[in-house]
Amino acid sequence: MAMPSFSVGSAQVEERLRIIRRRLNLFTLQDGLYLSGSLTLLAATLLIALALRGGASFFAVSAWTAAAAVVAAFVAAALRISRRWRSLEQVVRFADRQAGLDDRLATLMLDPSRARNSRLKDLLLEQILTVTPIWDVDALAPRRVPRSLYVLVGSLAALIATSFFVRPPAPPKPASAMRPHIGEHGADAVLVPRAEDTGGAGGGSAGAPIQVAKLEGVAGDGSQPPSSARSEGRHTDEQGSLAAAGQVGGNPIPGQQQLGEHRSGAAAQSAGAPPPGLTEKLQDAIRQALGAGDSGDDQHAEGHDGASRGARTGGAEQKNGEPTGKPGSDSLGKHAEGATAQPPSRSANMPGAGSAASPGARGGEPTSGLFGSGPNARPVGSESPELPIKLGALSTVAPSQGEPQRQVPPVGDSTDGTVSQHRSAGLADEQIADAPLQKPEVAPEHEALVRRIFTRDE
Amino acid sequence: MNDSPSDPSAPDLPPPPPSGAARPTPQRSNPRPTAVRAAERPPLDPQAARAQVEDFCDTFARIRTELGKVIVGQTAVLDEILVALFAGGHVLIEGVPGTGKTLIVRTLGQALNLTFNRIQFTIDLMPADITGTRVLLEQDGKRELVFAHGPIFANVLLADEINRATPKTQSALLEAMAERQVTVAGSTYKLPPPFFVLATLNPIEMEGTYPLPEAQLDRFLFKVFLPYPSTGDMRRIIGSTTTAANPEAAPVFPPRKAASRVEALKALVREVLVSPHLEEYAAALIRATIPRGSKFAPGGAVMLPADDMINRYVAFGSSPRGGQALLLGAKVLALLAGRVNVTYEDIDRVAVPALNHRLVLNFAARADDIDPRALIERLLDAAKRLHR
Repeated sequence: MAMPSFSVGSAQVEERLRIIRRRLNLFTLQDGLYLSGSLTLLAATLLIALALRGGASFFAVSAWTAAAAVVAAFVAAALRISRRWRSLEQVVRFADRQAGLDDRLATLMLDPSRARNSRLKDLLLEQILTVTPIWDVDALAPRRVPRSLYVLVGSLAALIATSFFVRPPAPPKPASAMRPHIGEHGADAVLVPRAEDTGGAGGGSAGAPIQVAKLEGVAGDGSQPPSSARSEGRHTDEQGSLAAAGQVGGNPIPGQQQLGEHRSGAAAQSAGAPPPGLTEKLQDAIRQALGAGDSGDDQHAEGHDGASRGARTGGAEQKNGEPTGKPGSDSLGKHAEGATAQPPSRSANMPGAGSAASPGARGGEPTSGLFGSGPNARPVGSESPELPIKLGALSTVAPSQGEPQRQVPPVGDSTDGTVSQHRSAGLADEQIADAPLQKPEVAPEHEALVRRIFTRDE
Repeated sequence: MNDSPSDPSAPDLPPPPPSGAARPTPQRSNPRPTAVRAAERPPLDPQAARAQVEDFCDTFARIRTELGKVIVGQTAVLDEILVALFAGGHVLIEGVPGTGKTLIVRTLGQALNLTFNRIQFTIDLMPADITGTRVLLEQDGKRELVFAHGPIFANVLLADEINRATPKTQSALLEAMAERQVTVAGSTYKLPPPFFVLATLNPIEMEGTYPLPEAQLDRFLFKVFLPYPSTGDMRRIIGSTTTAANPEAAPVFPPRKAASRVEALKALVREVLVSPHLEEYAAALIRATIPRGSKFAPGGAVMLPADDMINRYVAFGSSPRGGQALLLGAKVLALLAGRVNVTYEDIDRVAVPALNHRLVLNFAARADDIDPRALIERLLDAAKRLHR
């Protein structure tokens, strides 16, 4: 009779110990998970705040640090849980200590075979069961949530508060504000610094390192193919053609600063009133660069004689094969100043183009087309080194105007497609006129094709 | 497990030999109860077991009371002696002369109503004087060698000033204390249970003494120290022993039941349960008494850190008998507390008397006047901090 009672009582004790063990281990598990989760939430909160407010480099460092901290937290939590995970023996001894059972539970449970063989085992079990209320499950391992839950809740609240109250800084002015300039001046207007950066004509160069770099890549080498004639490239070509007339001969620009400063002037202008009719101006400028605008130079010299002179000077020096950066820089500097000083009128506010504008573009005079006498005639051909420049300038500007190319022949153009040699009245004695350009014969369908392509880009 | 009708509280044991039977017949074999036989014993129901435990506590208290009638003070020593008695061990009592060592043993014999013999060890004492010898006896015209039992054939034996006998004579007690039998002239004579040896040591007058060999010391379950009585106890001793009516201890057990009752109580002690982790604790204590670097040091993990004092002053640590003494003494204390299982506190309480004579100190310890009890106390302190 004693054995069954012992077995029943022993099973009761074992069941109770199992419950205690389950509760204690669950508590340990919850505690570890809550702590690690809290740290994860805190790390996420920090990262969100940094993402909204901090710098990119600091955010990257913080992100890696937070990731490492989270991993470390989980490892630490795992170690903590494994260290505090209670075996049956530990639970038995815990219950013995907490309930003051004087190692009775350990004696009964840790070596059941020996206890079962003892003649006093029933008395031992009875003593344990007698004091059952002392080591009640709820007394030894009450249902409770770990305090780390509060930490978790706090972390969650911090995360929510961060997502609600920490706003990203005001976004920079969208580039759409500059879009009109893009359409008129070319895609590089996107890269043009903001108005405050381009407020001064001389200080505009500081805001255009990217443009300078692109100019170096395209306009710095006249032989570069137009395959990279994206919007920036086109603008660069345009600027290069405007800034340095010497590029007509395929020579490098004397000094990269010329382009930068020139672009600064253009940017400053573009920040102001956008000049309409840029196509005509560009064409005039190109014509001027080609030496076809003699009369225009005289008239335009009032406002732009520094710039035009500088452009010619630079071109002349390149012609002589003695590129000097200094004169070029000076001349472009003057040009930039002059361009900036001009009122934002339609006729005079021609950055870049206006700096070398020909009189033909002024006063609403019909501008002669560059590309022959056909309706869409235009000199196209790989044999012409000026082709990328011309195409770029035309494709970025002309289609936006939505006006067809005029068929007025240029001043110096001959009917056979060649450009007659003009000697500019402003040329110094040591300067020589540009060699006449031979305009190759281009089939109208080819020219129309090219025009359609660039028109589609716009 | 047959309870005597006349004594319902008496535990069930096989009928013992009559108390005081000083003439047991020689036996060639001593079959021991096997584990199987122990397991076959039916378990006690809780009420019977509780009754036995209560009887144990009551008997212990009655013996203590009877001893207290004669012995003034020295309660701790009396407790330790009784614990060793019910644990089935022997006690070595060390004390200055005149502190009542012999009186304690004699009173214990009276209280237990067991046979009591005293052997005064001297330098010329021979082993045969202890164990007995064969004598030529002429009876009915016939002469034959008859074994004359020595004084060792008693339930309670007082070996007074045991260190004054030669090692040869001291060793005569070895077999008797360990095996509860004596072998004389090729014949083995079983000692009547219970066999309880109380030996005394005189710490002074060391000239002409022979320190007990370690093997002999190891046979004693406890070694207790009998200090000088306090002033109040001294006054009571003087007053009670100088009158015409000397106090006497009344026997606790009936004459023919004493031995069986004592054996039953001893058997009950061995039924007390010990948890594995407490056995581990006792083993750790024993292991900690062995100095590091000893060529006899065991391998395996050390559960207690090595103590510097142990390493410096101890030549040899405790033997496994020390562990047995720890658990047996702890079991008695558990029963006295009404428990049937041992606790840490039980082991700690018996650690000093169970281990102090098992630590063999080196010359440095003697030079520094190191007390082995202090070393054990250090071990217990360390164990309380680390092992629990």
